[in-house]
Amino acid sequence: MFNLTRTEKFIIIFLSVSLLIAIAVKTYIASRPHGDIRIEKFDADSTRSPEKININAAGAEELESIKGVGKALAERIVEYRNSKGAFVMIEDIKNVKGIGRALFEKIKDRISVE
Amino acid sequence: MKRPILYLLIPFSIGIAISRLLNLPILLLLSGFLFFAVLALVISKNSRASFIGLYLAIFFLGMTFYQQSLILPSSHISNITTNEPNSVFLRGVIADDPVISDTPYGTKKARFTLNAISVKLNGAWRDATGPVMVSVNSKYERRYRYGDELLLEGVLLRPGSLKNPGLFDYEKYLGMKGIYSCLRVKDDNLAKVIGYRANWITAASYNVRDRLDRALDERLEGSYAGFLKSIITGDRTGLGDDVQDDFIKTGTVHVIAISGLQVGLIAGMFLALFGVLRIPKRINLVLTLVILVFYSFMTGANPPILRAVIMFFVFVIGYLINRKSDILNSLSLAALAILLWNPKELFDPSFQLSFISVAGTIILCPAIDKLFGLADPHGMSVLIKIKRYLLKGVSVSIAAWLASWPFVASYFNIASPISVIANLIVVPMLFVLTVVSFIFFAVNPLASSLAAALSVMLLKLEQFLFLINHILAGVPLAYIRMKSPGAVFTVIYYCLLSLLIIPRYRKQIVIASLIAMNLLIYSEISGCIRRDLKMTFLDVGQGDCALLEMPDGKNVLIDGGSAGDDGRFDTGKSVIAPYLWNKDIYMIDAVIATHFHEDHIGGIIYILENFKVGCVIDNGAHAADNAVHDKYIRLIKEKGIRRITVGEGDVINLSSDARIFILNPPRTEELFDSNENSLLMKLIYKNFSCLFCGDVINDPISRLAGYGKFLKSDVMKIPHHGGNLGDAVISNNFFEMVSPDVSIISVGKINTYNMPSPKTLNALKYLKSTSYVTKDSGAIEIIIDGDRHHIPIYNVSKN
Repeated sequence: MFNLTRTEKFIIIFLSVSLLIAIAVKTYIASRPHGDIRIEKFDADSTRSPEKININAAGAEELESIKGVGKALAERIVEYRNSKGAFVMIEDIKNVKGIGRALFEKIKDRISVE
Repeated sequence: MKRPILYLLIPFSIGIAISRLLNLPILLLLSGFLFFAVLALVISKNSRASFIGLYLAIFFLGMTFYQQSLILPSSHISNITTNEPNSVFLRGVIADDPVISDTPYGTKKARFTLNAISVKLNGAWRDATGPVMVSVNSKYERRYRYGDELLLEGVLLRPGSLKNPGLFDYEKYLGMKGIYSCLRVKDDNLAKVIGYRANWITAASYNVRDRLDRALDERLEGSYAGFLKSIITGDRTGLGDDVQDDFIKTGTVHVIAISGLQVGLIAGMFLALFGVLRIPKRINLVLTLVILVFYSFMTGANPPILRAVIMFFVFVIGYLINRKSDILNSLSLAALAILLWNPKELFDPSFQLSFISVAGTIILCPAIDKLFGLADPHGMSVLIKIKRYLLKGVSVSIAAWLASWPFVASYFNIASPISVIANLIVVPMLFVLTVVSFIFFAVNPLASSLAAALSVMLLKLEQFLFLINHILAGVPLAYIRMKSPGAVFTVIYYCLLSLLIIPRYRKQIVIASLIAMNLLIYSEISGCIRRDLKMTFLDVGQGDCALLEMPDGKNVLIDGGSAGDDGRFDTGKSVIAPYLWNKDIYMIDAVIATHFHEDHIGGIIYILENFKVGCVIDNGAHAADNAVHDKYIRLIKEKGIRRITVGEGDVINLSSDARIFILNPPRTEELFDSNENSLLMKLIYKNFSCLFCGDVINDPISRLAGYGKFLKSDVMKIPHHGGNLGDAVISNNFFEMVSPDVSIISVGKINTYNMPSPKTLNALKYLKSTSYVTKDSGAIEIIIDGDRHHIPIYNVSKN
């Protein structure tokens, strides 16, 4: 029905094979496995920056929750407050024995005065 | 020349199609027409050149006609219609049969087309012309009828529709019908009937239609009455979605929309009836023609009906003047007549489907008959005649399907090979149902008991039809969902199809088609191997919906807009599913529901039903008295879909470089369903981040502030459709922490809460964030390539 010459036959077969390959590739891409979706945990508490602690109102226990402030230091802060009155600025906390410049830099973002 | 009109039609329609793309000035086109027309006359000695000149002249005439149809008179109502609603008084006459539908609020809504006479805007009356689509919130079943002259008070605006790339656009569709304005009327008190100006023949036909509809409603229920109404009077409002879906799946939907086939059946029925009554053939034909014209008035004269009536008209004239008419020629005449009346009909799906399938049947059938070896029917036994008849049916079915499926696929995203078989059953059933219905209509006023018996018969027949159709739709590979074939593929396909009928240039056509197909598929493959993340915020009206296409091929759907049980618009079916199919997506790895409100999970239902879903992710809240939530739970159980409940502290690990952090709601034992408990998610992909806020409002906003710098994102889906978030200081602080470069607000044109709120918009403006609102921009696509992102907005104003 077509009366093809040799070259024409070759062209048609070549094009058909290339088309079939393309269809196979496309089907593979469409059906390739996607891999699982997994649920993991992240530390929400540490991602969330916690609220600042008011050093004029907080008790010793709450002060202890500040990283770098131990039990003894927390009690000394409360003692200092009771004897010398409220802190006016957060920098005043440096007057407490045991809180140096280095520790203050570490905790200054976590404390406030009200 | 055997088919002169076909040769007129082809250049004329090509002219219309190209004119829509080019939009050239009308004077230029008109001079093009005159130039070539004169040229064709001058060189008429050289017949070949003269014909080419003539074709070009007709081509330019088509272009001119299209451009001309876009010009509206200065008094046209569309000239004072804007996107923003305007309060107006409008006087006009109802031009069609009003459609009454139920609203979800227990009231009714009447919709009709009104031909404007005058309008009062800004205190002054002025003359107006042109049609307006009116909807009235009504208390009554039938207060408004065709021909009523009304004085209405309401808001005038452009129709407005959802704008999503590649999807059906209702506003454009109405534009094709010449409607550019919409009027909403709050209640019956604002709509006064002040006169009656009807065309008697239309009024009479609507009167008959109304009687027929009522007769069916009295005897039959729900979809059973609805189906008969849709096949006989063209009223499709009573047809259930399930029944309709089955007809779409089996490729027999042409039965529901009154088609030329139906006109042919009715013509055949009356011809036979008058024949039995021994009415002379000539009078018989004319009488039948009159009935058909009346019928086309009754059913609203859509393109397929007009086509069939015009073809019958040509046949009758041919018979009266003793000239045999060529069927392809009269088909062309019908098309040309419709296009001369309104060139924009060329782009109407029902016009295209109707003409392509009939032309396909006429042209392809002889070739297919030859393949089946259907010879001349001389002196054959009954058995062979039956076999012949069946084969002939199969041949017509195949021809119609081969000719029309690319168009069906582009409008319905479906190809139904089963239609070849289904039509063999459905079409004869349609014939039987039509005949029985007409007998029923005839005896109904006279013999009540006989009518009752007939109605039972109709019911049984319909039950049988629906059942068969449902079974056929369930056969494996009965239909496949597919993306719209696209213009290039469609052209290649029709070239190959022409091999069946055109004996010349076969080699060349085959080779050219193969080359084109290779180019097409390899370019598609290179498009598939993408290395970027694509986020699409679909325009789902009032609601939320976002699609994430991950670089590794995963697809994640976040929320799904709303759906309606009460005949409201199902975005899952009408927007999300076709959008996904058009992208060759049939599997979704994760469907995330931020919370269980209807405007977020309504459309998800259809997706769960029709797609392969890897898992669903939600907040696990207890939603009492929430029908959509119950459906959702039932479906994931039925289909065995993995359900993952997440809360603050969870990370959804999509791939090595894409993770979604959940920041809200906090983990507690019991969670109730509310906006406050929406999932709030931060997507981090390489250097890019996006915050999906669901409907989070009030308290959680101040709690979330604790996340501080972690909230900072490149893109933010603004919470709660841009509504107020509660305390202004807290919410402004929240926005400042996120400070998105781009903010997305997903909100509908019509919402009862006046969203988005000016406060939110101002806060975003202050932060110099570029905001996109779906109701104005349509769907918003964001492509993230490495660490840069760009936003090709789907352009609304095009066309």
